[in-house]
Amino acid sequence: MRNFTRYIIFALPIIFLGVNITAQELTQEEKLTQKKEIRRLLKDCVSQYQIENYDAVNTKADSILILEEDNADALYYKSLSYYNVGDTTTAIETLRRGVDLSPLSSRLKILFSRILLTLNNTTEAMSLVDEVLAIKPKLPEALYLKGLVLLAQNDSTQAIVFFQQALKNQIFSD
Amino acid sequence: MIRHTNIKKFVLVLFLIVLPGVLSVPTATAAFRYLHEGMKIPPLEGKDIITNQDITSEAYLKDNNMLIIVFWATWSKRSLDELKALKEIALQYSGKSMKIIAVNVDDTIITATRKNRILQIIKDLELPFPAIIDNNLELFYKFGVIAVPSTAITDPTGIIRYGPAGYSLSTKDFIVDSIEVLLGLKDTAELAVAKKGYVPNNKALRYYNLGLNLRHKRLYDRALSNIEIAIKTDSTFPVPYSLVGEINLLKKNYIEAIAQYQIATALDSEFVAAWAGLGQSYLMNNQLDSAEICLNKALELDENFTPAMISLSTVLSETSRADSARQILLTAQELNPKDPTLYYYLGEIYLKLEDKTSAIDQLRKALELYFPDK
Repeated sequence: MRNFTRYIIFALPIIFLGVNITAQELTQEEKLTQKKEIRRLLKDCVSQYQIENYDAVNTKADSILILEEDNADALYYKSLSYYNVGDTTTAIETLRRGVDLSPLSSRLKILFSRILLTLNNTTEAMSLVDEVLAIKPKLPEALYLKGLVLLAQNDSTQAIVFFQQALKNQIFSD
Repeated sequence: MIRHTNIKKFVLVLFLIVLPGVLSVPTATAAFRYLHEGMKIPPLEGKDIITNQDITSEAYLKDNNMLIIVFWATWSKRSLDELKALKEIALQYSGKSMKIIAVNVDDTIITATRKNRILQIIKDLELPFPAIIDNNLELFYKFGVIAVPSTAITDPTGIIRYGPAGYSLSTKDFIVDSIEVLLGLKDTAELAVAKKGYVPNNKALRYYNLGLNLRHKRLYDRALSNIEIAIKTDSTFPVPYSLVGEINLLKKNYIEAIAQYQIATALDSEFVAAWAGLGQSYLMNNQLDSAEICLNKALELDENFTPAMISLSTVLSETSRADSARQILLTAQELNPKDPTLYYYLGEIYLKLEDKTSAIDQLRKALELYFPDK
């Protein structure tokens, strides 16, 4: 009896630990498979974007978003596709959702800001680009965009400063 | 506006970004950054834009053909001129052991619209040789193309013998001369092209290549040790001296850089990249007069050598000749309209000339090239 109790005392944690390890491994394996699938879908998404097959881009992006609803790349290509077929409204809706789901994505905010700029919404465009610059103050694309917004606001002197800074950072980072 | 010292610093950085390895090209033309005469081309493959057939450099070389590879783009007028010239050449040498492959380098990403444009141009030109698209500009970067168009002319073993950069009035004759030499149709002594190039000792070339690879990995001291062996093995091979000059330029040892480039240019007075490197070193060492002489010499030897143009424009700008600097950069832009740095420099020049509108225009163009509209 004493042996049995000892066995239980030692064995149970091992059994539980073992079970837990197996469960964790399975989850990681699944995660790994999912990541691979997302990578594959994203690659397809980019290829379809390059050949301007925007319907396919959307389908691939949706497949990614089922697996990972806040995937910034998928949201980016989805928005870009809508924008390229002239559906700016849906592009903006998608970007708003994207920025909510993935608030740290500079890529989404920059695209959003650029589209807003084409619609002359310089206030919101500036606010988005400033959010990016608050996190990444040296990001050349954001500095460039800020210059463009300033130019649209007729501040060419400041625009030049941001253009120069963007180029300096870009050249040095090469 | 950035100060002169900053401009110089930028020029140095750019020069070294744009030029890694270029300074090591031995002949009067310097089309490629990473390959030079005497080196084998990397395998080249793709699908013929028209027929969709597989095209490989190896298949052509296997049949004992010399090979002409032209890097071209639809946005470059000179590219189209060269393709027309190559068409004539292909017909002239039809039946001889000579093959041509046109490699399109329009952009990193070729959209469906762009592909159609390329296809249309190829169809209109009725080229009697295949054209392939350089996906992701892989070949462009592997070769280190300096200007568009640029041409690699190889012997049947795939070794680059000549590499004219850009396309000027004399390029067609140069290519014809090269073909005649490589096909053995004329006595090489009669031809100007035969005088160009230096055939180094094999061991020296091996150590030089090793040094070059280490330099690309920024292992400068190890690179220098290997180049030193190359120099000891073949002390009249000019290219390693130029590479030592480049590494010293990177390490900001301008005096030593000058000394090394001087040896390189003394050994090969037509070594364009070494003249450009020497000019750059003088510029960094604030010897503007000497810099100008060397950079002009480089451009005299190869009028299409845009890195020398960038440095010369800085010299001119710093010596109150901003308008001449502007002219040079405009020419450079015509040669290489996809190089954003050229627009950046011109933007700075316009700011000096107090032409804010043109400056904004140039800076924006530079940025648009870095960050194209999606």
